[in-house]
Amino acid sequence: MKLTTEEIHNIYLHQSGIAEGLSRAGSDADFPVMFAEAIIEFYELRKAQEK
Amino acid sequence: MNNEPVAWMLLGLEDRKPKLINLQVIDHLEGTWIPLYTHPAKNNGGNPEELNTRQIQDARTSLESTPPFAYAVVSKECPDGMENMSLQFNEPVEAKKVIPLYERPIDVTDEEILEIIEQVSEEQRLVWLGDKVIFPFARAILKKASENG
Repeated sequence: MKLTTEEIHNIYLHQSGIAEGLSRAGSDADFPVMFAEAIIEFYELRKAQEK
Repeated sequence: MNNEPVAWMLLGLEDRKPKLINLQVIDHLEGTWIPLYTHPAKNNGGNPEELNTRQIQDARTSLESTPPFAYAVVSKECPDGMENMSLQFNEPVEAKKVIPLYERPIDVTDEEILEIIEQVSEEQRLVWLGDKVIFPFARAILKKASENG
């Protein structure tokens, strides 16, 4: 379960309809990517624990 | 998540067994038409609709496959113009047509999503995401990630 930065940004744009935030995407605080990676990690950990 | 019916199942009048899955109700076919949903309902009863839902949920929990977990299937031997469909819980190897019906729900709660946001950066959340975006964004990310494998 791995997404590229581009895929995450596309989903973010689709869900939010906000393009202006992505002008900051190259900075350290690319929150959509940080959040997406965190929630994928959380989900994978929980699935592993359930097995 | 889409809660509207995506297909209907026809139960036989006498044996109450599934006879046909179709994308719309066919008025002249007698039986009980049961709407099928992408979001399963609770198991709590004995009437045909609830029994049907329970059968699907039981099948879901017994499979470890990735979504979707139910398919409408047209047999390979089915002649053109006679495309009645049957329900299968595993994707058939040989079929004329296979339509995925159900998706395994992404079972992350709103509370869990908020906890993750707090761990990443609550301050950044206010900059990047409004409350109306957070939950659909999180679930769309998980859905896409599970599709990518």
